[in-house]
Amino acid sequence: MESFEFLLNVITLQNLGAMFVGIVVGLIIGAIPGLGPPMAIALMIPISFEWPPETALILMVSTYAAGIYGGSFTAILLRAPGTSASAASAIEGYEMTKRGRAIEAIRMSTFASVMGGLISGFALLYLAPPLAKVSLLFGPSEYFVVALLGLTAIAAVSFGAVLKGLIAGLLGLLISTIGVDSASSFPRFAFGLDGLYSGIDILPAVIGLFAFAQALTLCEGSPKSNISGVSKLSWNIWPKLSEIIHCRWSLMRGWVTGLVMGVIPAAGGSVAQWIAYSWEIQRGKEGDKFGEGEIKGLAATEGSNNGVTGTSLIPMFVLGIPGGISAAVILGALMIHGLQPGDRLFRDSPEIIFTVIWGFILANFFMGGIAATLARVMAYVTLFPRGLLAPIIMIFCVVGTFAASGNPWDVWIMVAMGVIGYLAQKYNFSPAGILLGIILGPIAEDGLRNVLVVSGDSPFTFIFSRWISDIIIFMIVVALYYSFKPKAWDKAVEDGEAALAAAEEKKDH
Amino acid sequence: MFKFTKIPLIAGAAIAALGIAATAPKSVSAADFPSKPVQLQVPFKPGGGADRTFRLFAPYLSEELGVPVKVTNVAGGGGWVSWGQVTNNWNKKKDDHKLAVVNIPHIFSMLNPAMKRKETLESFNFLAWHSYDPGLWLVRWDDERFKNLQDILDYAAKTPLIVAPGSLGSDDHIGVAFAQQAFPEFQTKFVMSKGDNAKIQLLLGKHVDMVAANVGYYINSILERKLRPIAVMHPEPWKMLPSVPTFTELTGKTNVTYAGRTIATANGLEEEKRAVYLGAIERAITNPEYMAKEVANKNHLMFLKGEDMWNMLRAGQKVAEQAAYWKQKDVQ
Repeated sequence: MESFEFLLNVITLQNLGAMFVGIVVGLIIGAIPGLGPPMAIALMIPISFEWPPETALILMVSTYAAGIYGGSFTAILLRAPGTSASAASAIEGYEMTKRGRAIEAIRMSTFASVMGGLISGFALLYLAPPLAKVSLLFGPSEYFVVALLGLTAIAAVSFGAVLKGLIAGLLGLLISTIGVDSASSFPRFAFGLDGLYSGIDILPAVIGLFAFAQALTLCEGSPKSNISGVSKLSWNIWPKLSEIIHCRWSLMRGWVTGLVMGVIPAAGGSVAQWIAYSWEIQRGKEGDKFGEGEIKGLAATEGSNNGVTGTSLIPMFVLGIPGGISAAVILGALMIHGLQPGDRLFRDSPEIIFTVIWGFILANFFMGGIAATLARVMAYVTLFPRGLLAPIIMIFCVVGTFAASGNPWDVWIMVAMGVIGYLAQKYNFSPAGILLGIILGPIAEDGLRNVLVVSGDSPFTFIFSRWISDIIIFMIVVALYYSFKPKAWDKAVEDGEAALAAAEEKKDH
Repeated sequence: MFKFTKIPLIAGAAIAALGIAATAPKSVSAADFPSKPVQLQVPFKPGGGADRTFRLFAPYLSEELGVPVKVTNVAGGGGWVSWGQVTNNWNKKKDDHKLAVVNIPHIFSMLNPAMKRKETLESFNFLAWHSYDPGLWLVRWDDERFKNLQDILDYAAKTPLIVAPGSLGSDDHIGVAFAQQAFPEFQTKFVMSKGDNAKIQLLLGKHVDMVAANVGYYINSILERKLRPIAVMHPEPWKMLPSVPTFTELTGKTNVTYAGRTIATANGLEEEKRAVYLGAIERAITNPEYMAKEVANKNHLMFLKGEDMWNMLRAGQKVAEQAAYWKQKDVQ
């Protein structure tokens, strides 16, 4: 493999230094709700434009990888996800923390994230051109059905309370329609308020529904008690082989979901985690405790959100189409350094692009070590008394939301979503369902409306005539089957057996 | 006891300071303004084209002003969360250390009655025009159906052309609306999308026939031989793409649309302070080092001020009024 020679290019003092800074900044900024990789990377553009391009880009891709992983810290420890890509980890992760298993959760998250990032990095290195072609296959009809597939996750995240989960999902979809409609430029549900014209952004929604709602929930308990219910934490941060073997299939499913979703522009980590999570719940076996700190669920969500990172750079490097906001900012940096994405980048400047890709792979590797050290310190927040933790989380929620957009309206939206999330959690109306509606509503709506435009009178024929749509529709059917059917079926079998047993008993008498 | 001796001292110093302040000349001299960091407010989120350009610009403007220039993002409402602050809340005294980026034709969404905006062009205290990017139509490089604009017009007279014009009211959309006014038989279907990346993906993936966009972002795709330029929406051939014909020269019908960025400040700001900003912006935009960065960034700089700038703004408004996309009945 000719690209191997560029591995050595990474190992210079300045490249490794940039990588180290990127990892530390990413971990910290990712962990704080509101501050995320896109903003950190944007701030790095003017700082690094005098640097050699590969060093500047290594700084940015390291920040990106570490930022997605850093978001999981606060998601697991506090149920306050630092980025929208780690919201799903807040469910099982925090349930584990509550049961005094914070370190166990962190080490599974670290293993899943580091390995997910590495696999994704190697996919970026070796499969970039063919995977870039896949990303082009996604048009209106594919986006519409992929959003529907994501919405089937509502069944999984409502943990049995399906009706309430669906109500939550519908509320999310309704919220997603707020703002100026892109197809008619008519303001919907804006009530003449400036802050509602651009709709409800995902970030204030995530922070509100999870982090701020969590702070409100913490206010309910005794101010002196802590959230983990234990007073000492385990120090063993290195993953145990037994845990990995226990979660091996969950990890695989998470990584695969991440790799695939990364290639689809605009879907990315915030959708992948939910698909991976609902897949996991559907595959659940007897004895699995989803919703109550099931490590398999965490392994899948954590594997998927970092599995996205490498492959989401593929359409950006190969086609100039960034898959997400972070990739868009990195694209900007690339251009400012006089590099143009596309075939020419690989042909004319292989020394730069392959050095950056190897830098990304190494960053994922080192991220594990740095994170392991940092995690021990961070895990101590779970020993803080609630009376201290709740106001700190609230402050970070407000500051982070404001910092992300500079828009004071977003802070109020975040607080409103926080109250909604708190009530939803309390009365068992899945907050995750609301979030899924908000994230996927616009993708589904734009996809469907564009399908109606291009297909003329026959939208269904149009959707079914596209093979990727057909595959996704098949996955939706399977997902729905596993979400609803087995329980009824199992019950029928059980009833049948019970009836049989009763009949046998009767016969005996 | 030392309390009594200290208080008069402090009070005396305070009175003296007030006295100095009171006797200071009312007008500010160019030398002591700006006296603290200047905030440059971008109306979109970090990572977009406007954000990228003004983060590049900030260090050069800072060099000219002698104080740090901090880029802040106030996003939302298609820019109106920021512009609402600029026009309605910014105070010439309190907010004299603030500058705002105003995007053309984005602000003309104020003409759409559904938006219920009270602002007009005169609500803004424009300082200078910063950059300019003309409209461009593109097809796939290997799309045999469309050799030139005439092929597109002929095709669209028979079958609706599927176009990705970004969002409604964008300059890209206005350009297509103009073409439809000029050629009533020009049938289109719009696939709406968010941003240039989505448009490139739609076109390369053969989900649409044509993209209406601006030159800057697409130079790379053209050099990569992935997308082929069809026509530029500029009065004369555009210097970045000299061999690409203009819509006007091909059809004889005027169709000039562009995306532009301007810089505004608080209403009623003293002329002296205004002059300080304007001078600094002019010198920063013409700084060769900054110009080189923007060449790499594919952003065409265009400095205009005073009457030239206002003529450009008014012409832009006229174009938006004529296109009046919100009146189109066929908008789905």
